[in-house]
Amino acid sequence: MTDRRKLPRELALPRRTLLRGLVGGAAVTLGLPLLDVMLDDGGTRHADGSPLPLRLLTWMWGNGCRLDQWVPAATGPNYTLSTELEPLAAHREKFTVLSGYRNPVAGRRGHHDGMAALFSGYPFIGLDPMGAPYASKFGGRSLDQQAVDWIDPQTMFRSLQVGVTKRHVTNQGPTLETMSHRGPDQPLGMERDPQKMFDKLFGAFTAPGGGGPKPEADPDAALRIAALDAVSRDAKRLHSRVSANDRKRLESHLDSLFTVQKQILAIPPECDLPPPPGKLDYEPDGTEPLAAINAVMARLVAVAFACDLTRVVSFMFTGPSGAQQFAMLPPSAFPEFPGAPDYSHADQHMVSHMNLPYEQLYMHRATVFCMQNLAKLLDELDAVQEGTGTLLDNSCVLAGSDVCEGWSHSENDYPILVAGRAGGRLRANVGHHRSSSGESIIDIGFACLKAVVPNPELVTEYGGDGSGYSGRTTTPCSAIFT
Amino acid sequence: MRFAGWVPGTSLAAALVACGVVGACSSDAEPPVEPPGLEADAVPAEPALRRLLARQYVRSVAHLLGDAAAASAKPPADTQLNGFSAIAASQLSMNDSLVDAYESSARAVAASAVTDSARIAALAGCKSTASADEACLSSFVERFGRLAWRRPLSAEERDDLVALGKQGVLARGTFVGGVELVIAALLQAPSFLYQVELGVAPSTRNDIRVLTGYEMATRLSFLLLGRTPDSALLDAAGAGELDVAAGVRTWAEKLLETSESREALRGFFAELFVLDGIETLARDPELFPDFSPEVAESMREEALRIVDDVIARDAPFTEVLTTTRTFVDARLANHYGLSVEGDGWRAVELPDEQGRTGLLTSAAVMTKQAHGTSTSATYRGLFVMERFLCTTMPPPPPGVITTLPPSSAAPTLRERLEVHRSDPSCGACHYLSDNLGLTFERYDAVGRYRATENGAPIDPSGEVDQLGAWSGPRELAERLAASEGLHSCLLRQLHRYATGHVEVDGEWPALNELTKRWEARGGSFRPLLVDFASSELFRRVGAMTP
Repeated sequence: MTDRRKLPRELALPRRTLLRGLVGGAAVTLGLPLLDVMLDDGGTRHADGSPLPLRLLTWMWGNGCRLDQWVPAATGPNYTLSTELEPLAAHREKFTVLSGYRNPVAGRRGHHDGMAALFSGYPFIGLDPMGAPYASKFGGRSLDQQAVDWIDPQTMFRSLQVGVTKRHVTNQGPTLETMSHRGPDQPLGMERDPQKMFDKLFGAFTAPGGGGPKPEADPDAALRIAALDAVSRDAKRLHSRVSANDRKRLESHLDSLFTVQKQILAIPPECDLPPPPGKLDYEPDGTEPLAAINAVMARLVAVAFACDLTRVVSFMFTGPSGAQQFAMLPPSAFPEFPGAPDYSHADQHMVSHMNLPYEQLYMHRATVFCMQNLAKLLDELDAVQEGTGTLLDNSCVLAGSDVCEGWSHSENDYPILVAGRAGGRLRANVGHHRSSSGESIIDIGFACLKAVVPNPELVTEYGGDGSGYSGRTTTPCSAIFT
Repeated sequence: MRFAGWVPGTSLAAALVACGVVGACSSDAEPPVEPPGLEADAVPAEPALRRLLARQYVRSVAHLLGDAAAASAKPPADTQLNGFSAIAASQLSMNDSLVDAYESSARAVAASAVTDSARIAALAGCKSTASADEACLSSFVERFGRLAWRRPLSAEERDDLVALGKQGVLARGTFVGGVELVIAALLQAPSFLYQVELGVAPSTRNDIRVLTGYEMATRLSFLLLGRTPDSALLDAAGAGELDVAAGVRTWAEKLLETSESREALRGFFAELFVLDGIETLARDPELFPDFSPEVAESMREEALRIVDDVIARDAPFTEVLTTTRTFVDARLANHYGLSVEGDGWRAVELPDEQGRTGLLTSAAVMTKQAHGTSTSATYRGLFVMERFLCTTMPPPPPGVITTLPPSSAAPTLRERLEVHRSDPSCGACHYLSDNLGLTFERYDAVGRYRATENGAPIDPSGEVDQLGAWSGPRELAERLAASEGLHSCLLRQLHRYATGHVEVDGEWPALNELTKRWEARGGSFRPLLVDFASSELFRRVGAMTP
């Protein structure tokens, strides 16, 4: 069915062996949960000697923190949690707080600078030709997508993009819309609807209503593959006629056509599915059930990791410069400020810019709420046993925000933490590390990349240059990566 | 009227184009007399594959296969760059999720479409229930393929899809089983999902390429009807009618007379005036108890009706800013504090005491350009700057302190923003936006009228160097309508939307000439659209990087 000779070069990668397997009559096997029988005696490797899968999860919340409430007073393993970190107390042995890092690609646009540095290492590309409304794109492949390339996972989904709030900035380009970018022109949109995320993960092999796996694969699979082959041939015919830039775009298109074919051929995973979440959307007064959506998404991510449906996830709890609203923070939650204005339906970004006592207490409590929701995700990951540890132990979770403090768009000392041990690749018992030498924030992303790839020694540099800035680094953050 | 600047190579190019890459030839008939071209040359940007916008996809499916099938169409949502989703559609690439969504959508549409056997028979030009009827299958592929891909299929393409269809017939045991598979493939193929505008280089020039008749039909139809071209327009393309400006002009005029064109233009104006998404905004229910998704929907409709009305009357487009007439339903009348009877939409005069003026003070714009709990002079000012003057504002410098005093110390926003205006580090950028935006302070965060804020009277006057001084929104609207850059800006916005890119240097001479012509002809919108669509600016693309 698939004309292999005509596949573009970039498809001639190992992933292709899967499809070849099917074409030869064998099925593609994806999504095996890790069972004890598959492990060696020590529970640290598969019985065949291959290592356990490592996962990367990038996680963000918008509009930063209050540094005086975020940065712990002490450093080292025995530091006392700050008030904004307090919600994560149950996991304190499993995360490192990193403070005092410098953003080398800062100075142009607050929220954009932070997204680019934390999640890609490349300066962003600004787009405001001829006074057109401003937008920006990532300057290079994002951290999670670089991990996808190095891991080259044989999983149903190369990566997943998960969002919680639907109140996010949509008019300033991909930099603020998503954390995942295959390149400047290929942002990967975040799925912000729990039911759609459920359907995406399990829809291909669950009976309607969310019962168990279907007994047989999709009977139409062969026809769908044939139609996609015809579609690919159309793309290839067009490929020879278009501009150099459009050729690249069509190659991305072809690559994705191939991936979707692979997904159609996947065998159902043998894992326990969570119940379908149903519709979780705005309430009649416009309130968004953020914690409920987050809880469902966190569970889905844990199941997707546990079933090896993917190994790479980006997770946008609230958005950069975001218009998210914190309905759980009405004036009644602030008895110390009688008669205070009601911001439970205000966009957080607006409140962030009011450097007044009540407004900044509101911002602080919003950060606490965000950390409660990160804790929920860590709970889910830590609840899944895998070998001698948990899913969290076999993951690297990089969590941060687009600015340091929202009120000033500050770009020094971003709130950052790294959770999980990446199967032992990340240092334990670091606690709080404060950089005294102004190390680059981009080194942190580099450490996370090296922590999850199969051969870290092959990854010798990270980040890149552009627009007169350089984020390039060859030194992974030494506080967390040995 | 004949302009001297007609590029001699173009007619030749048109003839070449007609026998272009897809192997279909225009008729050999003598081309019509050349219409007025532009004095100015146009060297447009390099062509880029442009993904259909979600609404264009749905309307195209509806046109091709009917409303029932279109109800199954679920294209992914659009994203915007530089103010228009067409620009993002021309720059961004596909990814796994998008391809997956298009595949699902195409299958759902195909499954729904084949339940209408009469329509399938009409599309095929033959009625077959015999699973082995290859001639009828081939006829379907050829006829429907031409409509879906907006050009005749090559022999290779036809054979490819017939073979696919036969595979479907075989697997499903029915003729429509094959038709369904063909439809699903056609509707997720790049030739459907992208506007392909490669053009052909004329023999005399290597810096431009002239769009083929079929490419022109596609461009014209998506711009003016918001959907794929119909069979008659494709016939005209095949006959060479769109190879010359006069033919494009004739067709543009014809398409603009249809009711579909109103809906298509609404797509442009909804983006230009940032009207989409208003129904998902949240407003503080205690401050704004009557705000709801329903009233928000009425607000959006009102704003579009203001524009529709100005266009339909062929009035100067600036009336969108200056008109005192608007349209309300019962919900919106209540919102504005007007008393009307009955439930339908009707035209009303805006009360003088509210000082409202056209779209600028419409509830939709005032609501979209505000925060959840309060107004925003900066958003509203920036809206005027970006949308009508094509200027934008630099970002706040990182580390800037943005503390405004609380309302107990400064009751009106004008007083609170004094810090922006008096601090030179803020004022340089906020000068324009805040001075423009404060004029709208008498309309709250849902566009209701108010004379005071926190008990203090609101001063709606303003002044900026570019426009002079004004006493309130109505005078500001007059200033904007008369301002030098307004028509140029609106044309640039149309061009961005219609071509999917922000104007490049080689396009300025033609843009300037079209602007002058538009102003000289009284500034109504439909003649501009016809001039624009038949201009070299719209009929060409730039050279391609090999």
